[in-house]
Amino acid sequence: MVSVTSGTGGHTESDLTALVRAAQDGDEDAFRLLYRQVQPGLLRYLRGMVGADAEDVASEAWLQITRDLRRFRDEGAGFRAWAAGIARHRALDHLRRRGRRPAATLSADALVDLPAAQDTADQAVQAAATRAAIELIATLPTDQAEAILLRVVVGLDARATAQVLGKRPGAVRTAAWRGLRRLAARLDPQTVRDGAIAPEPGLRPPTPTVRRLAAGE
Amino acid sequence: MIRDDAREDEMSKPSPRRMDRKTAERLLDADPVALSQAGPLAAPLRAARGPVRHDEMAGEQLAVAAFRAAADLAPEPRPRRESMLKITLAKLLTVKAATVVAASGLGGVALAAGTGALPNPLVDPPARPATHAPAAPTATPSHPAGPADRAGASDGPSPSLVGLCKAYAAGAATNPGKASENPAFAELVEAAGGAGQVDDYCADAASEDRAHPTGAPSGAGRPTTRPTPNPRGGTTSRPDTPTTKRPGGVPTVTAPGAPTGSVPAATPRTPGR
Repeated sequence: MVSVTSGTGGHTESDLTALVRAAQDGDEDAFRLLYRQVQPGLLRYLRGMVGADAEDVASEAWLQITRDLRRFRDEGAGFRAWAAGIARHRALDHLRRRGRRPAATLSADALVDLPAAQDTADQAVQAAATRAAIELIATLPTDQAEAILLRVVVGLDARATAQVLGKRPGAVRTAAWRGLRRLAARLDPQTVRDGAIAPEPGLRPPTPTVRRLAAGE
Repeated sequence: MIRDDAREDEMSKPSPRRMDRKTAERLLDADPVALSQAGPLAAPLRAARGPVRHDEMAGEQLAVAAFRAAADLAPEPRPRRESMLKITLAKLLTVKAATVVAASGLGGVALAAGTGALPNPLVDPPARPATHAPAAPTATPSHPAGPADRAGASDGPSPSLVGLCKAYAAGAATNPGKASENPAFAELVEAAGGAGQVDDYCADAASEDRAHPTGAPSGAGRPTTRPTPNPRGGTTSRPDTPTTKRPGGVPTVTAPGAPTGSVPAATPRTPGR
């Protein structure tokens, strides 16, 4: 496993364990730190699931997390996976109430040049790039989008992701792999230029924004 | 998709459509080498892990309020571990002191929390309840230990910094070098005066924290519902007790861009690029 620092999911599970125990004992500061470690990834995952309602669903999730925190027992996948499972159930409830998963569309935020955003210190550009990336992943079929988001932004491994999704690790790996290939194909300048991507179920044809991103303009 | 699967073993050309499962796994794990070879796919994968933004933490006060409510409703505190007992007691004393401050109309942690004024190490200057402390000594003249408590709460390493130290130490043990880059530790790093000073700073903080009493009632699980037992001792041993200024090491400005901005750089910069 490569040591990676990232905006989300960068903290290892063992680091969280002490915070979780302290929070279970009522330590508010520990809970605060826990929230700051876990919330960004959860929110990004939820944004991919429920779009603009992600904040509301995240709040519901934290309400349940705080309520059930003392009952949390790590069964191997860790606190992040437990929290993600709660967030996922809240998201599914939300989608049941609201209808189905909202059609992911690339918003005006996506009009940012993703490759250039890597090299900028401009927070607004970085934030827009993050949002655009989540929206891009969210255009995938739900099982692929979920598998990728839980891995990439929540920071779970395949086993923990499988536990959250109630699937076998192999199935989760396959879904993420397919999703990544699909994204890569969409972003490939050759295929984007040629318009060679056949429309697949659940996948909208590349928008002008995606073409622009892929072309690196 | 089916056509792609059939060509899966053709890996001679680095076409994204022939990405193999192993490569996919490495990309999902943010392997920098894999990302550097991922072409256009690298950008969204990196951006998805981009720096934490302020607005992503907007629900913190709500979550903390829920945490407090849940703690108040909890029937029985779980059996405390020895290691947690000490630090929790230290915090309880601070919270009680702050409650006294709040009750005497001088502000403090409780009020600050209620108004969303508690510092977020990612974005806010780590303003402590210390800003309310100067008036504290006159508030309860009949209670000599009180002012010291309040001053102590503001001048020693704050409970959150002590907690940060613990988390930092845990992080540094498992992943040396990584903890210092984590935005959650920005407050700690700044308070210490740099990533290289954190160990020393935390060693000092720990020695001061150890000076906290361990003989206080062990059942003190409800800070807000109990009176203020044993108000002395907990914080009077802190060195800077009488002063009400922030310690010099605690910065008044936390540039939001600095800690978060450094984070994504760790991922994209890969050897060979």
